[in-house]
Amino acid sequence: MLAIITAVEVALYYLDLSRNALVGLLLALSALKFALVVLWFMHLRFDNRLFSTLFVGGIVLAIGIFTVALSTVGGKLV
Amino acid sequence: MATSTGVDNRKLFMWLFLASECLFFGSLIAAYLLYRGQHGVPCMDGDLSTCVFPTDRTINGVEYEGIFDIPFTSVSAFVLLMSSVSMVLALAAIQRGNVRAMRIWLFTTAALGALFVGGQAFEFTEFYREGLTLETNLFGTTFYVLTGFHGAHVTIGVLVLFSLLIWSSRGKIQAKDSLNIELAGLYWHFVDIVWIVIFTLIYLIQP
Amino acid sequence: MAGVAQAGNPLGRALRDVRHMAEDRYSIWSWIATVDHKRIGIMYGITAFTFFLIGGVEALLLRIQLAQPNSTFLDPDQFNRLFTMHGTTMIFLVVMPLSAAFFNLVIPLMIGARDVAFPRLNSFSFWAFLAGGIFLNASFFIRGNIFEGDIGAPGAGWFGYAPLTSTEFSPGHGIDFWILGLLILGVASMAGGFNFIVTILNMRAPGMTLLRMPLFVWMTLVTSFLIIFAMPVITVALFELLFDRLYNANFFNASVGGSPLLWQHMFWLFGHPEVYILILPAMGIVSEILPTFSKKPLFGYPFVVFSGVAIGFMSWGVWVHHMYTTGLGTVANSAFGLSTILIGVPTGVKIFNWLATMWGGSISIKTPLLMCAGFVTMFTIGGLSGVLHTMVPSDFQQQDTYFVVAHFHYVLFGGSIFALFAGVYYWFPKFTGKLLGEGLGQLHFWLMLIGFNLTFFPMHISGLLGMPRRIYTYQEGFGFDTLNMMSTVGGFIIAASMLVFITNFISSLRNGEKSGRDPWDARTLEWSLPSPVPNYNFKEVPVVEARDAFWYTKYRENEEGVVVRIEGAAADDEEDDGEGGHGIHLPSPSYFPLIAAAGLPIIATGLIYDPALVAVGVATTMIGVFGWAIEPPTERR
Ligand SMILES: [Cu+2]
Repeated sequence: MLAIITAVEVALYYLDLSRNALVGLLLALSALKFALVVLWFMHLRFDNRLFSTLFVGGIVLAIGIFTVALSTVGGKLV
Repeated sequence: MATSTGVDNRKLFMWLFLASECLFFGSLIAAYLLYRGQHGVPCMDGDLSTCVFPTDRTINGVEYEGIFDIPFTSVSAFVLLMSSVSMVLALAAIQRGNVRAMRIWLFTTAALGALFVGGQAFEFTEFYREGLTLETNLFGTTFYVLTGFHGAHVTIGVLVLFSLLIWSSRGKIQAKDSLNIELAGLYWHFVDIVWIVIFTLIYLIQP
Repeated sequence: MAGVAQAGNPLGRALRDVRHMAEDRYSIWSWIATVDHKRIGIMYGITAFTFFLIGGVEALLLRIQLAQPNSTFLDPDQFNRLFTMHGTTMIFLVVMPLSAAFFNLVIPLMIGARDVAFPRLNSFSFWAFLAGGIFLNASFFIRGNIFEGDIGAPGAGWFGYAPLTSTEFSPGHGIDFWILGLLILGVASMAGGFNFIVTILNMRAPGMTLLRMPLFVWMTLVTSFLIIFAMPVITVALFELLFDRLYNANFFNASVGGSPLLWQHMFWLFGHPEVYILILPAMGIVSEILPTFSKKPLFGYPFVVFSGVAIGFMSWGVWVHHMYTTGLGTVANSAFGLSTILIGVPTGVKIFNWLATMWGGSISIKTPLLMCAGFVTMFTIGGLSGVLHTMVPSDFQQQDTYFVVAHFHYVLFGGSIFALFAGVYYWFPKFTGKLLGEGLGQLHFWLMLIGFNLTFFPMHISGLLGMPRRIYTYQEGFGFDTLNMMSTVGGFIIAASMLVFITNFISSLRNGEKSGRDPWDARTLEWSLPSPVPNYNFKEVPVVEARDAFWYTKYRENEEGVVVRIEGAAADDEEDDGEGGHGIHLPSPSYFPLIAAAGLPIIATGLIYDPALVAVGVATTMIGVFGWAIEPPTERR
């Protein structure tokens, strides 16, 4: 499953897609891969809620503050 | 030991650590993303012929070849992803009480991890030969530091896995000690998902 | 479970011997190898107070220089280095570790635990803090490459703005010491942060639900979360700066497109949560002491808890108020101005709750209460001048003037330091069995209050008159002269108050009045234990039935609804000599955390001077970590 997604991602990279479509697809696929590893390999899906709250909290915080920080200095996220 | 929340102290510690690591890698990635639009501009002496870019691009009608080797790095990413799978199998084995199978899968995980680090060392030397150093431009600076810190995390993970292997060869890891493997696994998977993010944002998506 | 202590192996035997030396409670080894949270807390406190005196001397030197216009007592370069070290010391080596001292001393007692979740990690935190502090201060004794013969301490301010910190503008190794010292201190505080979160979430006594936890425990929890999320950001920023300086990377190198604003963003992304890391523990201490000395429960407990948590969240959304003048644009400035005004709301909630706690209480005026009253008033003044900074146009005027210096000293000294002293007077009897002298205590308070206001109040005015901070002198005739002389005199009055405190501390330790278990008729669990607390803390783990757990074992309402003391409750009769708990398994002392921490400054020195040393340092830390992993946490007797 994970292998297939990675293969599709790399294939997409070589396809002549419009930039926006490419970015969107790649991000979506990676998010899927990310979720698979976190939810099943790391057992977050079955484990105590506390763990997922902490971890998601860390991710959301990181994304939130750096999105704002980069947008104030004219950086683009993707 | 019974705890107030019912979860193990060490496991809670590990998740807190990983949550905190999100901010660590978030900061490194943010620095890369901030400068990615300027990778074409900065070269130490303003002479574009000495410049190194991540991917192919044309500036003032001159074509510059990018430095990334996507097929090679895809294989690396795949190797690391597979090491996560073998890590899952190692944990499953010890939870069933099968020490031998756990040792085999632990070794596989560590070996795949070492292969990834080796691949990264190869990639770094290639880039270095092509003229990309920490000093060359903002791309060199942010790329080496971000991927270097990730590589350091993988290296530490490999060391931990080998320590666990040695430890288990002395019969110290049985089914009741599976938490040790679980914690190492959490760390290992985390390092893997960081690479999923880096691979997508840095290698595949280009400005 | 034999681990390293296997007989027959000479190394193992030697290790076992040193370990046995650590078991004699009176030997110095027992302190070095201790994993007891109370002893670690005491070591944190004494070390941090020593750094407080060092930072204080630095401040006095600065004040001597500024007492008169055109003074030549210090040259500009020395002035820069001293104010940099003063700021860095007071924040990272004084207020943070003093708070950590109280976390260590009282958190396990308040939640009814025998120790923290990871005792050896706790000891590692302390040794890494000590190592980082010594490493940072060692920079005074190095020589710069260019300023040969000068002191080599860092001189770019505690915020280390790029590009001032680049090798071009800060040659020599002062900044490198600053970076690496802060990295080591960061490791220490993150380790502590993880440890206390796990301790508070997981080690609570039966019945100690989250909403029964004392306020100080809550504030420690929030602070620890801020630490583990904010420290990684500054860690990355410091590494980036280190790579720029040592290996010519370009993170902050504007000549190739690097952005100094990246540093400012990362520094203040850390820096503003840091402000709350410094003040929330102080708020927690005050929220314990005021109810005790007012004989009333904390007014609106859930609101105080909730506003503390809200501050923790909101502290992540205000950092740009430190960057109004960097040209980020009107939208950013207005948005962050608004969020900064909003963060004043939960802070205000707390202040009103403290006032309402005291309102109508039967207040006993003792030093801890006076210090808390000092906290509430001074912190409120500092908070109000802070509100002035939230407004962008007014901040433009005040930026980089002494008005800002006045503001943050009112919140950090008038706030944190007053509350931390309140904590010292309050908990001293718990860990020594003696009371701190009340007379000298009150003298200390009044001298400190007067000295503090004399030092920092005039800075509001000199700042509004336009006196810039971080400049080594000023010309006469701008109206700064008298104000600065007042500040200098005030500084020396604060110094005098510290002498009073030290005298009081030493004499009370020798022959202070015996305190017994519960000298203040207090409310939380630590006061149910003998003073000093035996090393196993609780002979039997308590079962908690209410908020203010200890209070409810002492008092109850009678038929007429009047609160009366339960007869014979919590009597001071059986004095525990600490020899009672032989059946209780305690974690064994360990040297490995010290060894692991000792490797860190060696690595840091090696990065600056010699790669071979890095290898030595890494090896040392690895020995520490592996020994730690192999060594059984508790030795079976
Ligand atoms: Cu702030």
